[in-house]
Amino acid sequence: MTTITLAVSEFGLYAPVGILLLMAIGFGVANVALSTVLGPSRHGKVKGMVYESGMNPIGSAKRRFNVRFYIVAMTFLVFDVEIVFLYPWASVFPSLAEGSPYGVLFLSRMLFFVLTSIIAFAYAWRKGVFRYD
Amino acid sequence: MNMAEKIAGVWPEIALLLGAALCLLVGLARSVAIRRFTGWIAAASLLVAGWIVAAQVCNAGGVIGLTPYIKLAVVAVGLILLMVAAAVPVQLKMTRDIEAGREPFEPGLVIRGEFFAFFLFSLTGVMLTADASDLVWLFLALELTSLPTYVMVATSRDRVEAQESGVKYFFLGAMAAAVFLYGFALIYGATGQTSFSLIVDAANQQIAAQGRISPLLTTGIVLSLLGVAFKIAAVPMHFYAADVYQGATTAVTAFLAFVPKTAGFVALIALLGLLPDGYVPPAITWLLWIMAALTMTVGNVLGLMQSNVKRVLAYSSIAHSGYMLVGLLALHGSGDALGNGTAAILFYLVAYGLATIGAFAVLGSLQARGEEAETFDDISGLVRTHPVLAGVMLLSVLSLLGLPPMIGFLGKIYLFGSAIQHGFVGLVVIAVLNSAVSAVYYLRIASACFFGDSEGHTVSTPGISRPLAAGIAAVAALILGFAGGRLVSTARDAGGFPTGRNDVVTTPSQPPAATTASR
Amino acid sequence: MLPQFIVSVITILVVIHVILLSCSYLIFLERKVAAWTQDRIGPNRTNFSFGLLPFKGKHFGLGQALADGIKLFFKEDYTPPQVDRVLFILAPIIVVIPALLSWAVIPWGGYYLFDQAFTVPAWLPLLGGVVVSPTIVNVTAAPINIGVVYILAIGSTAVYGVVVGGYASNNKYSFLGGLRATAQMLSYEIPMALCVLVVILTSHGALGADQFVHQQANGVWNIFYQPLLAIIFFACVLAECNRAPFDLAEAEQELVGGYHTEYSSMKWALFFLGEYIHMITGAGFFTLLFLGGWDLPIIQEPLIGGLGLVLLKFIVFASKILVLLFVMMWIRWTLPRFRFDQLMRLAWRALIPLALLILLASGFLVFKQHAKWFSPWLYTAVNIGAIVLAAVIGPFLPQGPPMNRKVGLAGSRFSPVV
Repeated sequence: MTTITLAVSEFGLYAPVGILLLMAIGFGVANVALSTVLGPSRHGKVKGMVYESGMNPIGSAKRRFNVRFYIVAMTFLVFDVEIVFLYPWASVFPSLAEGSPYGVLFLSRMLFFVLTSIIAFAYAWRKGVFRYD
Repeated sequence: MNMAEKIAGVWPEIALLLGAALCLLVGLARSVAIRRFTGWIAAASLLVAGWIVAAQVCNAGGVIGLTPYIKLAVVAVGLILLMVAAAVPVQLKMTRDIEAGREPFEPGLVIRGEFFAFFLFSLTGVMLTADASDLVWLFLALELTSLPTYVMVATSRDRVEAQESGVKYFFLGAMAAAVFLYGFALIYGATGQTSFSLIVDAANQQIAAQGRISPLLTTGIVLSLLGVAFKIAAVPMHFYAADVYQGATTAVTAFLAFVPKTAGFVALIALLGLLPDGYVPPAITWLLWIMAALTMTVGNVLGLMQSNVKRVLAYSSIAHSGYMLVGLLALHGSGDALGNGTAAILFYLVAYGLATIGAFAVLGSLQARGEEAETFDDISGLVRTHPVLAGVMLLSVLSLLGLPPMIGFLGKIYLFGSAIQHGFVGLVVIAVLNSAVSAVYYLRIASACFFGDSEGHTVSTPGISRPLAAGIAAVAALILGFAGGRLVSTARDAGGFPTGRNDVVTTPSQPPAATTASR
Repeated sequence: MLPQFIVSVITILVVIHVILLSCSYLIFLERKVAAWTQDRIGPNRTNFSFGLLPFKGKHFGLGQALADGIKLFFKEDYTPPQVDRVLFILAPIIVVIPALLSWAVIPWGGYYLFDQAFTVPAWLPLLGGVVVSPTIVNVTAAPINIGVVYILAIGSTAVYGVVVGGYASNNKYSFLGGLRATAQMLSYEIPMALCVLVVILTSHGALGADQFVHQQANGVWNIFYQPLLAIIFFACVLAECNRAPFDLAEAEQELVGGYHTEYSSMKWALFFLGEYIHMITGAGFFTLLFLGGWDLPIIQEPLIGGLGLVLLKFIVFASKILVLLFVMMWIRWTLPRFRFDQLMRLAWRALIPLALLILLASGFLVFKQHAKWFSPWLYTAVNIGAIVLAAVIGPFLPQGPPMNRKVGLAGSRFSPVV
């Protein structure tokens, strides 16, 4: 593998991201503003009604929804946090030297960590969290 | 203290966690016979954890420090609690219907595995609280203790009151957690450390520089104490206790009376251990003084006005937290049992736990009109129908009251004795007066059992485990009251060391003073 | 530092224009692909005259894309009275920001060598007259060291725009669309992150985007080592862009457009722009991780070079992306849309367990990477093994309980009575 030394320091590299962010915000705002300015504007009672396939709308849209979406969010949190913690592990583990005494330790820590979430996963599966019919 | 040593210390917790995971999975098995194993798995993992703690204690040559003492106590009392709670899932209508084959098996609706898993999770949390040597660890352990109990309260009973009290408990608990987390943040801000020993070093430096610790650190500790007061149901945070204790099923109430309270007091001892040796800011002393006095008084006075035995016991639980807060004032004591508040609290936790679990187990063994026995009517004349249970209730109540042959008497002697040695005579006078007041409602329970008229509608619940647990708790309270020397000396060993600083315990050759000087 | 910054800014300016222009032509391409799939002709008449300019002929209908864009600007931008105004206007902007941000770390053109010192022209403000010494720079917008994690992090914020749009519209269809989009994007983020995790693990712990390209340029593309993983990742990319067959959030037939039912004019167009930019970024991410980035398969191209090499690499990268985009459109016009339960089941009961399995097996192989018998082709064996295992034990897995029991409505096909 060719080693390439880049004459860069780290923090200044985020400056282009800042420029890009400004451009993105500018693009979005400009588009929304332009279409408001350029297009026509007419109002009407029926035009302002909520679209409900041509029927008169019934009630508000802000209503209670199925608790399953909440469970999805919680399960997501469990797994996402686990994966986030595994990223540093994944970037260090392969570069351990040959015969390093930490190899087994690193592997077993990951296994224990994944095992906990596998138990959670098996539990959730059996409990019917992943059924949506 | 590096990670490997820490892991070596938490093997009992790992055993409990694995047991809990196994409970979760086994509790969803298709066959009822396999699902019934969950309780036994919980018991087995408790025994394994106890065995590991015992082995560690033997290796260390005795109970050194607060950690092994709390772990042993949690295992022992946890086994009794498990006997009380073993039948809780079966009391639920849905579980009964499914297990009797009246409803098809539906993993989403059975809670057998979850109940025991949460039970073990909560006990794990107490053990981890005792292990804590870091603010982050302490916070996580306290929350691990509390979070399962919210669910246990809400799901343990087919009644809307249980859900109401579960929600109430959860929201107030979240608020309390926010308060003490804010306190932790201030402590971190004042010292720049989260490790207990480093915080103590920083506080010592502040004393060396200014003659006092910084107001920010004091504020942090005060807020933490107030937040943790929720766990022990002490006065500014006691509102939930009666409602939650009444709403939950009796076995879970017994659990609530012992487990979060133990975790709370361990955390309080650890937090007060953050102060430099022999230095308590007046603000904290006064806070504890007022909290103790108010907690005792409020608990006992309100306890007088209740018609529900569970509510009476709830207020008694508040009052007992007040007595133990007296011990907190005498925390930095000599090694002697009679002068050491830590040892007294550790001893009293076990004493109170045994007595209150005995009382709740008696209530749980009885049912009236298909519901668990709760009111004075339900236990009225108990001696004629269930003489043994009535006897157990009498022993438990006497121990809670603190009459001489029982363990509660010894506990109060040590608590109040250590407080007197530290010069808190006024507080002890209030405490003794309160004990006298509490005699009214304790003896009211006893007299209802023995002299009331039985209406004959109270029958015992099926199963032997709850009466057995009640008997064990009461007999233990009696025997330890006569022959508590071993427990006393153990508690003294446990409390004789500077608390909350586990690394100081493991390396006694490094006195904190020397560390301060070298920095 | 300075040369890198200059190259970064130039890259941003070039790529943002290429992306925005190609987006409009992607819509044109989409319509063409749809037409070919359905044996139609598709847009073929609109030329570049737009009724004003003196152009003759049909220009293969290439004027269509620009005409569409111009039309959208002159449509009425209607904000219904009952919506949450602030959120309603913010939502399209929130959609477009992460879309325009997330491609920042993709190494479009490898490395560029400033082979001799040069002076910045004096007429430039701020930098005029500064002398730049010879150095090597990345031809990418932001060569930051966290690389792929940046793409994941920014990409996962894309869900906010959809949710906010669906919530602010105060329309039941929009609300349902927003809910579905949330559940879908959350669910598919987990297998996606797991895939990236495995690729990091098997690429010697690389995080920076250019490192992945090196390793594949010097060896074999990852898609050959991890075929199953590549498929999982591609499915997740489709789901994260809300592309068919995962476009439940905007399912026209049931939700009338879902979260953008109430949107019109350019606000509506920004949602689509966001989707297409996400497609480009997703295809770029896939190319980066599995298809060797700017690497040409057989030729051993030089690593560092001048402008010509950079352009060549950019073209290679862009062609790979274009092929993937074509595959995405092909899939859209071939496969029917999933049902919501199928969608969630696919993520939680198929993709996540498979990705976890590959993670564990790859972790073990990495642990043994110094052994004599180790070869990267064992990863391929693991992937094939995972497919076989899934095929064998899949049918025997517990089906779980019916959470909602079907009520047999009299007369329906579930009814036991009729």
